[in-house]
Amino acid sequence: MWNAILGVQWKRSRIAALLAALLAFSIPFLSIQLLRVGPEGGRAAFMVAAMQSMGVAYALVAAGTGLAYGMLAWSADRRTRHVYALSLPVTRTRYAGMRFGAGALFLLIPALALLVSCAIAIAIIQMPAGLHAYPFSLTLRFLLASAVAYAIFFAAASITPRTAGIILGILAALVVVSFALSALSIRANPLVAVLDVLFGPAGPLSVFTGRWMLIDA
Amino acid sequence: MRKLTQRLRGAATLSLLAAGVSVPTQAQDTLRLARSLDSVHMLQMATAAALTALDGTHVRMERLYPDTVLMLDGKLRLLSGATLAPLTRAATALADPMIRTRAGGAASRITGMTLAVWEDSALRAANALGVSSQLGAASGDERVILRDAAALADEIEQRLQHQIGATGHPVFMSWLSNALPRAPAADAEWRAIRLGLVSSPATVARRCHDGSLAACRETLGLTVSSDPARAWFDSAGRRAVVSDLKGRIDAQVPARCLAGSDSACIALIDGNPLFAGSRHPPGSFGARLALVQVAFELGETGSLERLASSADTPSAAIVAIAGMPLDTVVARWQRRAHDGGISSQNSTSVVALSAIGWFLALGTLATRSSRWR
Repeated sequence: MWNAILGVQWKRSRIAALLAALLAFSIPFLSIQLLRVGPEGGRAAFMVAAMQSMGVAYALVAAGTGLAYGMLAWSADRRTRHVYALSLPVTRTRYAGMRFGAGALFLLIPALALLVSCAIAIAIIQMPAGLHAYPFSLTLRFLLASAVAYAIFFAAASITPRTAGIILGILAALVVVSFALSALSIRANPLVAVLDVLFGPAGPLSVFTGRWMLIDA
Repeated sequence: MRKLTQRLRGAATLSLLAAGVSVPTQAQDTLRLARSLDSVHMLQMATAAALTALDGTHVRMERLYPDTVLMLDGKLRLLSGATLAPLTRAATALADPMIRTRAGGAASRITGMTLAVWEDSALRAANALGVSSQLGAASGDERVILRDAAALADEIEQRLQHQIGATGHPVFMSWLSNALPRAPAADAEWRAIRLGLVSSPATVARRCHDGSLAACRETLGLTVSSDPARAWFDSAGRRAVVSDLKGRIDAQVPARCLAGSDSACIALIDGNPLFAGSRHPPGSFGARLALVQVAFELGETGSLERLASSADTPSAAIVAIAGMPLDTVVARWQRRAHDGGISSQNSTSVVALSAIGWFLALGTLATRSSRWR
């Protein structure tokens, strides 16, 4: 059954996988293209700045990959109103686990594309003394970020409309309370506190923050 | 004198009563209420400051008010309100060993120093407090810091180090252009220093990165070159320096240099005021600070005591702080500048573990959903 789910998952997400791989492959090359217009002096600093400016592209592609994979993971079941899944002699937990695992496995495709691209880019450019390349840690981070984004959207797509309503209600309440507190000149802001937790060191979105550097000092 | 002290206390009591009367009775007017409370608090602190100054300068009484904290056997008096006294005590307990270790006998140079640690409603709301040599912002040396014992300890250490080490060393302090450091340079600072060295158009900075101690001494401004345009740059570096400024100056000025005339580049760097920056040593102030941080690491015990009695030149001060020859300190600094903090900033282990944890947690959560049950 694992092979069948894997096959269905590949059919559903192969376009997204290839697109994500293409985008991930292109970012390191775009980074080194920026270096062509660098100044005569201060080349090392310019190279680091160029890498830093492209950091957001890695985060966006990782998030986009997770979003596409997460939404596509359930598309086959949604089209058939879960009839196929209900007809299988397995528990919902096992079935959803296999769906989750199959989608996660395909996250390796854009990550591998990024690793290959980083290796080629490093081989092409002449690196100034004092700078170091970090293709493996960048790829690992990309993989982790896309995995977290995938897990978030996979979980969001699997919840019932009632649960989705509750979550949206809580979010709306947070926005309303924050607005009301701000209007009353009260410093406490629950929305900021929630964002701090989400993006804090142990938060689910912390992997998206900070510097994404292929080359650094 | 006792009568004067009693009068001051009487004045303080009257001031407090007067301020108390002016407190608005409308509870909803929180801003006015906060301001009134601030003024009451400031009056109380001002009176206590006056009493402490009176005791310190005239009476030399051993009496200690409950919101006054002594440090270094009473050489430093920290005046804080009753609410800040526990935090101030905790900060002095943190700062005391470090200062005693570094200052040794030079701690005796501190006499009658007073610091006010204070807060008002605005600082309290921002979880901050003020530190100054006199009460309030009027002293001119007010610093706002985190309301935290470690941050206050840092501030106390900084002021005491300045008092002991910086006094009498204007040339060294001008070269350093920073407060005397208390902690070693962090990895991020070493990365920035390395990037500065390898990005510099000056070959002397890159030779320093590659291991030449003589080049490092010049880069850091410890030895002075009479001919920086030739000694620090090669022809490509000189052209890069001029090229970097070409958009900001008259196009005629750098034209000959950029066309390939090296003598024109030398003339520009040597004599044109627009290029004065290129005649300064290429090492950043961060690099100099890191050198002093290395010196403190090497000669921690008694470092301030040795500094206090050293000559006022950067080299002499660094040798005094480290208690070692200059080249030993520069060599240690060069190794750190070359290798310090080399690690990927892409993800820390905490972030990676957190991401894996969230991936598994969200995946498990998804399998528990009752969507088609």
